[in-house]
Amino acid sequence: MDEEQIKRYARQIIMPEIGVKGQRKLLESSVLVVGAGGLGSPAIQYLAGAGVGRIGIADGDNVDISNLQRQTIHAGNLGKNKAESAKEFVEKLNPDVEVEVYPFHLDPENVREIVKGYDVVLDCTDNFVSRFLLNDACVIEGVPLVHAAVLRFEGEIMTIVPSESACYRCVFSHAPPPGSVPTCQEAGVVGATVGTLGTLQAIEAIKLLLGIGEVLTSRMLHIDLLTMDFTELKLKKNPDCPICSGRVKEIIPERYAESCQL
Amino acid sequence: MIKVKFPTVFVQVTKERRVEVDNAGSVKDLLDTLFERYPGLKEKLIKDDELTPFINIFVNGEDIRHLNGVETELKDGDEVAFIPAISGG
Amino acid sequence: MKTVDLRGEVCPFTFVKTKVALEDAEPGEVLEIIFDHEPAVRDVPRSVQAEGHDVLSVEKIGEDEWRVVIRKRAEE
Repeated sequence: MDEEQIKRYARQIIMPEIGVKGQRKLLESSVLVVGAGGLGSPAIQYLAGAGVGRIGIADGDNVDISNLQRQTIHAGNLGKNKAESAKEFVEKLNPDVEVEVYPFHLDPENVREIVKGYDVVLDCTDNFVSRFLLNDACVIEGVPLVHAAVLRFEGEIMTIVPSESACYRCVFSHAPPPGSVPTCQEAGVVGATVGTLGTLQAIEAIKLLLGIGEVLTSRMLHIDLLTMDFTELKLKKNPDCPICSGRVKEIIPERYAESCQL
Repeated sequence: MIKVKFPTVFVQVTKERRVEVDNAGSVKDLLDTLFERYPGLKEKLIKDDELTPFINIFVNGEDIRHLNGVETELKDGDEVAFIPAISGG
Repeated sequence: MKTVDLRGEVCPFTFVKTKVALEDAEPGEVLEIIFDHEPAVRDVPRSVQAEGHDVLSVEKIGEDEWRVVIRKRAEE
């Protein structure tokens, strides 16, 4: 590490859990952030700040004014593709980080090839189809995945380490039918809620990369920020889960559309 | 008293996020009491006479599917949480 | 014995750079660090001891100069 890097990462290097060794490891690591929106924005911010050497950012949408209420990294980039916009932010913040941009939505054809190029994947998407897609792809390819989701003041986060922990399908076997669960677009979300969860995803990723602390494997942290209730839920691998039992070796496509009602 | 926590998707029907329920010996008893207290809650939880798989029920942090399902016994002080699948991000 | 000249450095870089030098050293290796920043002379020995290293000596060697001799701990 050069003089500038020592200064840049000083606050982490002095931590016993990280140190010079840990910092070097981060600089050699890679994280794929799928979704540069409410969850992705804080996650990308903190991963870039921490010096994760390579960050992949996947998002097929453009920056819209309604995003700026919470997706602060896109300041000044209305109309730009969100992955490209996020790359600009990272380059300004930390030139040590190499950013790979995927300015499109991941789908069953491209997802496996893309996720297997990374050490950790963050599910920062905003719909069930993508969530199940990422779960399946990461479990099949053996890449750890940090899942998080929010609705209004509520949020959840869990970490999936393939073959070791419960996967997303062990908890929610498939996507709910249209009309049963709302999305943030209909029900709303406050920036600080989704910011909290995205930040937690970044910290889980860093812990996975460095092998420190305890990650949320076979545990879900469920939070209600209206009451400040933080509850830990025990999860178990479902022996009948088609994906993590290895019975199904292909992505199980979910076709449900998101709903428009609460 | 059983402490019950409702998720955002139920609050429209229950109006409250946290309630306490007396005299519920099992999850099934608790559900019956809640359905009576909050009309409109049943259709969110029961589809085709069965518990919808999209809303998990946890007692003291443990999924009832890994306990005794709706027959899972409840005792005073237990905490029951309804955890729906959410997808926002 | 390797000398690490940290004159001109202030907190927290006095500790950060000491830590960098220690991580690059062999277990059991002895290093001498030169500081000209007084708070570092109190803080750095305490911080490296908290990480398990041995502080062999702390001495003033000039008007505003101190020498701290540290032995890196035996195992990683």
